[in-house]
Amino acid sequence: MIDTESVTDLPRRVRADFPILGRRVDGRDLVYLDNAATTLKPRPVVDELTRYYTEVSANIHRGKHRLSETASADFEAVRRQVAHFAGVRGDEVVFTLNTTEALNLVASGLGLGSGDVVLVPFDGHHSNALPWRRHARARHIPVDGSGRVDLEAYEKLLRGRPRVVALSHCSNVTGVYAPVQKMATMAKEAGAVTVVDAAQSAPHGRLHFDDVDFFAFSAHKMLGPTGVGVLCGADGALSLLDPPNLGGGTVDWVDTERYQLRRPPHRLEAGTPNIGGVYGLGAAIAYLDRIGAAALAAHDRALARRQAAEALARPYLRVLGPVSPSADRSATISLAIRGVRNLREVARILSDSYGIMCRSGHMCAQPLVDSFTDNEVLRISAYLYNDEGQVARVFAALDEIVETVAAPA
Amino acid sequence: MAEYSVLQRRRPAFDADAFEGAVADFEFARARVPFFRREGREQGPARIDGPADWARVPLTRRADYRADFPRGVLARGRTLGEPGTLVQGSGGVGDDRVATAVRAVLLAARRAVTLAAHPPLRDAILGGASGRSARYTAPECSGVECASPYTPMERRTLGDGTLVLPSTPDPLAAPDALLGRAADELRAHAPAWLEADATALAFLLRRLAAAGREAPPVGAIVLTYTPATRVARRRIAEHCGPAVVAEAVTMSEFGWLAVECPRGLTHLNNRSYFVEPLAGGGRPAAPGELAEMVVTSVGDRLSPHIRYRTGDLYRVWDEPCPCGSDLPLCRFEGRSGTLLTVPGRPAPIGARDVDRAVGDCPELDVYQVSQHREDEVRVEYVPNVKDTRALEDGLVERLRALLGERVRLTASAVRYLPAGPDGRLRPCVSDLPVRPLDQERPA
Repeated sequence: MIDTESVTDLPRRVRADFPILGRRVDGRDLVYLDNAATTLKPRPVVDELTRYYTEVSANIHRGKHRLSETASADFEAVRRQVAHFAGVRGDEVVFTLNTTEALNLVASGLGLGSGDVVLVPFDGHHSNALPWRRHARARHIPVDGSGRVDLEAYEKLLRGRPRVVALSHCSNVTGVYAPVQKMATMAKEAGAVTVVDAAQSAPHGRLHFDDVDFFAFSAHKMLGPTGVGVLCGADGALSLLDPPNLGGGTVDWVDTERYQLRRPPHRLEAGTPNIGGVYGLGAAIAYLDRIGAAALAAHDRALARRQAAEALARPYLRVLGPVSPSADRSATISLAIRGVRNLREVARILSDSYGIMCRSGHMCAQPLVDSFTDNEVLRISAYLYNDEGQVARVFAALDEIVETVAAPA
Repeated sequence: MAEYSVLQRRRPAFDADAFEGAVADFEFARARVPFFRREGREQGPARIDGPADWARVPLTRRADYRADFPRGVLARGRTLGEPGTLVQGSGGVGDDRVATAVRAVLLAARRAVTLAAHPPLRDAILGGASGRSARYTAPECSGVECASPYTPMERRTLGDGTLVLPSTPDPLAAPDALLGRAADELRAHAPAWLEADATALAFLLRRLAAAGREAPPVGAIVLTYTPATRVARRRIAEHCGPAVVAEAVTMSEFGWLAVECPRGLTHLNNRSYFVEPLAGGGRPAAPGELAEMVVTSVGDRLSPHIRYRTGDLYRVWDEPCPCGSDLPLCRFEGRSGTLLTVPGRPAPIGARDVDRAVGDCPELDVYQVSQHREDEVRVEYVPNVKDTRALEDGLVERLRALLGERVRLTASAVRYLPAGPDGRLRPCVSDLPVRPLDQERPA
């Protein structure tokens, strides 16, 4: 199990906890650098999922028998654990399927109309743009030439009194942290409801917001299972939402004519949830908590610096977003390769010939990627089990690959 | 009986009459209660002639009573449906789940004996005009149904007339509607006394005050379920001024076991039960030594408990208290998982020591000290001031003095602190178990 003695050798200390890292890919060590898509699962998370299915397995909130009470108590204990992790109260946490569902729940639940303006981040994920576009008139918060949010333009947009301001804490493409605290305060002063996509920042322990009404993140991006997301609605914000689904678990009382909705968060969790997944999320948070937010953040920054340095040292690479030492970045970097059109092939070679897993594509942020290149990008995203040696290894592999796949100059 | 007087000097809390009563309960159990007659179960000595024989009587556990409930643990011919029988559950889940039945009259008698240590509280409870009581703590089950403000009062009124106020399994996340409902019901029920979790009650009072509402009048408040912190007690005193407030230790299985006297010291009821504070290997604990309390009922002819491991940790002393009560002095230290074990300190540190170090900080609403590793302790607190620097520096300094230099101590201000799986927020929690009775007997 993890030892928190030292920050600098975090990967060495945690790797043994991840069973999949013992796997070999055609005789090579597995290097997993697609963490912005999803993260690997440590043994305590796998064990906790197994514990639920082998020792508990009952439904929640539906019985007095021992297994059901155990399931209910454990499920609600994870809700409180999540609240503590996120800096909100226990009744301000809704379990969803993922971040996407959480953001859709807010976009559909606020009663928006076609006359309402919602500001959305230009460097945001599709999940923080399309739901708003469906329910209201979306306006992009632009980024400047270096990929940073253009605060001047943002301030002008706020003068239009948007009903909602949706922000991305950390871009899943550039890895850049937006100044969400400042932006949320500005939005509140303009009278907007504020929503933050925290899917990429939660894994690094960077939550705890002021002036943010809603924020969402996913378990699977922070060592937890797939199929569990979290929506936090601070200071009564959850009661603003019209539940999209009704049924079991959402009501206190029903007769043939009327029904009484249960208090938030339960009214927003219709039907049997992913109970096992919530158990796993609890184990993931406990695991991250033992490492500590400061250690996670320090490691993230160190890897981000190394990624930037390696990329800048290679003239054949173009980096999407700022890489200067002052940039507040996560260890996620997206690259275009001069002279290489087929980045899917590069990703495939990295996987099959080097054992390095990273992603190519538009990263569910096509407007941003299209503004940078007429092609896809290659994304390298690291997490706590990756070390600087692995970051160097992927760039060294790119050197070799590019030599063979680049079009002649 | 000469042997007893020697024992009374050696063993704090030993009471000769209670011992004889316990022996009678044991003989009764062996004759009439199926669990104690079960084939294959160790029966203990054929005859109890004194404490040495008694020490060979097998200990029982919560699981024994739960697994055999009710058929195996009720005396032959008795049923749960008899008038005056209370069937008790508890907020525990899994292995902590309690299933027990007890006669209401026996509970009342035990309470009266315990209350002798606090005459003003006794007068408020036993002499209260309404005779009614109310309870405010996490619901017994974690299901949201229990917390619903739409549950009618009648469905939350127990057989002895106690109204269980609506609550949530997470005191610091109770919504305002539920808090308002609890306050309204408390006013309507007008109990003579309220039994409450101190942290949950303090939160309720804070929120009522924030909403400009007055606390409903209550004659007496008994703080139980979790250790009452000074911070919570200050808040309760501020809002419930004239009420008699005292801390008590109660158990679903037995009722009242201990109560705080007017001097603020806790007294153990060693008359209604035969109590045995046991340390390593089942050895009787020395005065002041951390021990698990093992309890045998006295006069229970429905479902006697014999050498029952409560899981609760105490220290018991044999010195007199300035209050004049002859019930022995004790300190309830919580359960395994609520004491800190730190390097350089031979004895675990309990919530009382931690609370003394934290002190009565007016800038603090609630706190929790937690330990995941032996050399790492964290204090998290909900402040009621914006600038927390002085508050935090003071907290760290005082806790550092308590914990020593070999512990990495971190402090952080938070908005919220989560309750444990049973819905209760304890001031001190640890992942390192402390089980004095399970330790090997010293060589």
